[in-house]
Amino acid sequence: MSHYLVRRLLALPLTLLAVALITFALAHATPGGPWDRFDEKPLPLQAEINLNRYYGLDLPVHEQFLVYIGNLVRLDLGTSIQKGRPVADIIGEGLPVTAQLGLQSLLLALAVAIPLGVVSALRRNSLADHATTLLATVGTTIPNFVLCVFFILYFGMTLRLLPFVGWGDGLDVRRMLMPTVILALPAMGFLTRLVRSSVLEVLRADFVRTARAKGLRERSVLRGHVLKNAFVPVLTVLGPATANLVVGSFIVETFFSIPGVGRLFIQSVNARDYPVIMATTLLYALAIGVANLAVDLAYGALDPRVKVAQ
Amino acid sequence: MPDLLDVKGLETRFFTRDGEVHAVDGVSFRLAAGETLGIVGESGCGKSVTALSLMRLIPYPPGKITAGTVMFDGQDVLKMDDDEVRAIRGNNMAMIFQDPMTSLNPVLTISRQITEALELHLKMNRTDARKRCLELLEMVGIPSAKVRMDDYPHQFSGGMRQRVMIAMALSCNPKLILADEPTTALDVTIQAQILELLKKLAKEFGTAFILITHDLGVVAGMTQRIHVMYAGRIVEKADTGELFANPKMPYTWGLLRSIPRLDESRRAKLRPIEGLPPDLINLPVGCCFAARCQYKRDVCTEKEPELKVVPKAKPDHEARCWGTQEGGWLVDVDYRTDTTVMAAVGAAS
Repeated sequence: MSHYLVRRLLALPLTLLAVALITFALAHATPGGPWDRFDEKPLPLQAEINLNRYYGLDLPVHEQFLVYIGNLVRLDLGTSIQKGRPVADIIGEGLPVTAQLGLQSLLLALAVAIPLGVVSALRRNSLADHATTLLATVGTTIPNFVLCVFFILYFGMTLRLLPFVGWGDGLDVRRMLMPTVILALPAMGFLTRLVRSSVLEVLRADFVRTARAKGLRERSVLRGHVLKNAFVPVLTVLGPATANLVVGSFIVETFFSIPGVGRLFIQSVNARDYPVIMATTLLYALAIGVANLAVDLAYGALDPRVKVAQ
Repeated sequence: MPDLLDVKGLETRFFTRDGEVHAVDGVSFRLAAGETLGIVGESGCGKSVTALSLMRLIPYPPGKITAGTVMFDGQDVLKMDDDEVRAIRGNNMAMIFQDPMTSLNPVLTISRQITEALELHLKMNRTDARKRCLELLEMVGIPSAKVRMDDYPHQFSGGMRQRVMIAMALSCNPKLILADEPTTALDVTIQAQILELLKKLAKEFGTAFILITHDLGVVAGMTQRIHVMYAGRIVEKADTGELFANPKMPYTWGLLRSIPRLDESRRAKLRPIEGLPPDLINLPVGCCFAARCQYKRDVCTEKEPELKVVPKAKPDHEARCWGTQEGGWLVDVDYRTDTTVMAAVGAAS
C-alpha cells in the first residue's frame, strides 16, 4: 500500500513536467506576444527589446523552458508580465475563491444527485424518475455560458433578486448563490444519472437477492448492500469532477467577475502572460493528479477487492 | 402430521413487452417436514421461478404470482403481508443460490453477511452472532474459520463460497432449504463435496430441502422424491428409485436416454431430445411436450393430459401423459428396450 503511494507520488512530478513542456510549447507557438497592442500605439522597438531582455524572452525557447523549470523547482513561479507582480501572489489571491466556489458546487451537486439518483432508481419509470431524467438532461446539456446569461438577465436584472458581480468575502450567500448553482448544474445532472444507473445495476445483482432472501427490510438491503456497491462507479468520476470544479470555473468566473483562478487563466491567455498561463495550467494538472490519487486511495476503503490488486 | 409445505395451483407470470410469459403454470406439490425433494428440468422450465415464488422473491414488475396457495407451516405465504414474509425468509425458509461467485456481497465480510440474519431473526447481539457464525463456518468445513471469517468473498474459492452460502442458509435453523442449482457453477469434484455436505447437514438438523437442478445425476443420490418439470408444469412425480427404474413420461425417457453411459461403445452418439421447449408466451394446445414426443398421437395435440396416477407403477407415481395413463398406448412400453418406435422414427426421418 505505502509502496503504491510512493510510486504514485513519484509519478506526479513527471506528469507535471510533461504538462509544463506541452503548455510551454503551445503558449510560445501561439502567434502574438505580450507586447501586442491593438487599441493603442505599438511599443517602440527599443522598449520591446528591453522588456524582452528583462523577462528573459530574448533567449531561445528551449533555454527559456529550462530557466522556467529551474525556477519552478525552487518554487519560483516568476512575475506576471501583465500585472508586474509575482505570479505566486496572484494565484494565492485567486485560488481560495476558486476552491471555495468549486467545493461548494461539488457538495451541492452531490447533495442533490445522490438522493435524487437513488430515488429515481428505486421508483424506476415513475413520474419522479422521468422528471429527474429531464432535469438531469437539461442540466448536463445546456452550456454554462447560456445559463450564466439567463441567470444574470432574469434573476439579476429583471427580478433584481440576486447580485451578480464579484464574490465578496466568501460569506455572502446571496452573492455566491448563482455562480455556485450554475457551476454545480452540469455535475449534478451527470452524477444523478450515474447514481441512478449504478443503483439500478446493483439492485439487479445476485447478492441483493441473497440479502432479500435473508429477510432484510428493503431499507436495510439498500443501506447495507446496495449503496456502498453503487458508489464505486460514482467515486471514479468524482476525481476528475472535483478537479474540474475546483479549478475549471473559467466561464462562470468570467461572467460573474469573480476574482478566481479561472478568470485569471482566461486573462493570461488573452494577454500571452506566459508565467501565469504556465502556473494556472500546472495548478489544474496538479489538482487532477491529486484528486485522482485521492480517489484511488478511497477505492481501497470502499471496495476490499482493490487492496489486493494494489 | 400435516405437511410442512403444500403448494397448490401455483402460477407465476412475467408481463413482458412481448406478452405474458407463463413461467410457472399450475404447479402443485407437497413436502413433509424433513423430507427431501428434487425438482428436475431443463433451463427455462420454471424450476427456479417456482423456488423464488415460494419465498415471494419474484421481482415485480415484471413478475407476479397470479394464482395458487403456498401453505408453509400452516400459513399461506402468498396471503402474508411483507413483514410476515420477511419474518419467514432466511429464518424458517432459506435459499441457496446457483452462483456463489455473485451471490455474496463483494464489499462485506463473510462474517457480516452471516451475522446479519442472526441478529435480525434470532435477535442475537454482535458477540453471540459472531460466535454462532464461527460455529457455522466450522460446521460447513471452512478451514481456520476463526481467521477467515472476516475475509471478503473474493478471498474465498467458489466451493468455499458455496459452503458459506450453506452456512448462511442454515444459520437460523430453517425448516426448509431451497437449493437452486447449488453446484452448477462448481467443479465436478467440488460438486460432490457440496452435495454431500448439504445432505449430511440437512439430515443432522432434520431440515427439509428442495434441490433444484437440471442434472439427473445430482438428484439421484440426494432426494427421496423427484418431480420433473417441463414448460412451467410438473410432468412426472415419483420416488427417486422409481423414477429411474420405471419412468412413465416420454420427456423423462428423453432425459434419461440423453445421459451418456460409460459402458457404451465410444462411437455411440449422444441422444438429445430433438427440438426446443415451447414458447411460454404462446403455449400449444394439448400436451406441451407433444411437439418433441416420438410417441405422440392425435389426442396429444388436442387436449392437455392431467397429472394422474399411472398403472404398472408404485401407487404414488404420477405422470402427465395420455400414453402412459390407464388405457394408454405406452403402458407396457419400456423405453430402454423399446426399439419399434425408435426404428419407426428412424425410418421416417
